[in-house]
Amino acid sequence: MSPRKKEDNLLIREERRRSILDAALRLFANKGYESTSISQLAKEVGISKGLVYTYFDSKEALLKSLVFDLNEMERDFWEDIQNEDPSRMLSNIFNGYFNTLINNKDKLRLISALTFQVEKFDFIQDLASQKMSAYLHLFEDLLNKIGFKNAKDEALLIGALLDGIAMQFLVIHNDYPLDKFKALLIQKYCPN
Amino acid sequence: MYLLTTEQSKKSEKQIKAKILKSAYNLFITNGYHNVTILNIAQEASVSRNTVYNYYQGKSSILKKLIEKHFKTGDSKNNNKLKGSEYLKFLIDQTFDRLEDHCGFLRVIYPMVFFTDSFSYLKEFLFDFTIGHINRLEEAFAELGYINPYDEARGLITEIDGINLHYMTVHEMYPVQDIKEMLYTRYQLS
Repeated sequence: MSPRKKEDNLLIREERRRSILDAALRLFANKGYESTSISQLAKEVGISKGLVYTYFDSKEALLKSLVFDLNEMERDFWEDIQNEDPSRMLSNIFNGYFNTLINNKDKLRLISALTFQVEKFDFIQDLASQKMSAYLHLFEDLLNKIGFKNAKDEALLIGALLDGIAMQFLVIHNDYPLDKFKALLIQKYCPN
Repeated sequence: MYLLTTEQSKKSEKQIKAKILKSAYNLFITNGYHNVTILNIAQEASVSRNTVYNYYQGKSSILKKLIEKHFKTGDSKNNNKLKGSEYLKFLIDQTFDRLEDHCGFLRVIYPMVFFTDSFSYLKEFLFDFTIGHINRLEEAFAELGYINPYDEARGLITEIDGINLHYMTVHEMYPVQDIKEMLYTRYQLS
């Protein structure tokens, strides 16, 4: 076996870092952050506990990385929804939101659960309120352009409805009438 | 030591139980369910650990009792008599009146709904509770002549969940009054 090159090492490190993060997401999202230990995590990845610590200083550091990953995902989402027509853009958001719900249950479950522990994690509290206000402003802006009166309050209600839908869907899964709500939202807020 | 009459002992039993529940409720909200022990609860209630175990098998049975109590509050029998917009108004008012208290407790139980199979009881309970509310609300919307009372009911219940969620996230920054007025306007309440 030839000695590993520096780049190979970096690659291996990055891959392993990835697999630790993936396992952490799986465990945090299904068992909960509190109930997951670094030992369990190491076992899930198939490496030693000590090795996990060479990548992440603590469970909280892991969590931070996960949350910032999610933020990246969010950035792609923003790029995908852009449209010059406000009504089209709003329906892009609704469609994108419902797709994300269906395809990323683990990530969303983790995020939602963490939002309930905001006092414990300042950075999540900040992120959550920033995100919330960014969305609400966007909704307000789009609704204004579409011609809704009271766009600000209407935006708040859309925000509440969307988060309520996520919450109920994550709990009761396929019993929740997602398609119906998507149709209702688009019908109500996105005129052709 | 004197002997208590049955009635007296029943009364004090009731008081002790209430004290234990109240202490557990407060501790769960401030410290989180996982971080609270039976000993903590006993100390907070100024009773012994054994006394707590006399009444409850463990932390989870205390939680179960608290959940039932919490969700029953405000669902008294008189509400069943409320018709159409009266019920709607009652539900909306209750949502906003209880926001803070309700959110504190929801923060304790929501993570459980997502995560553990051992809390399947909770999941079923919340499911039944939600369905109960939707049915009751559907009736109200039907009385008011809505074409799709079920959708309307499902939508409002979902919105209320979202309002709770947002309030949990941003607390006093949430424009509670604006939202309430918005709902009042939408359903023509006064």
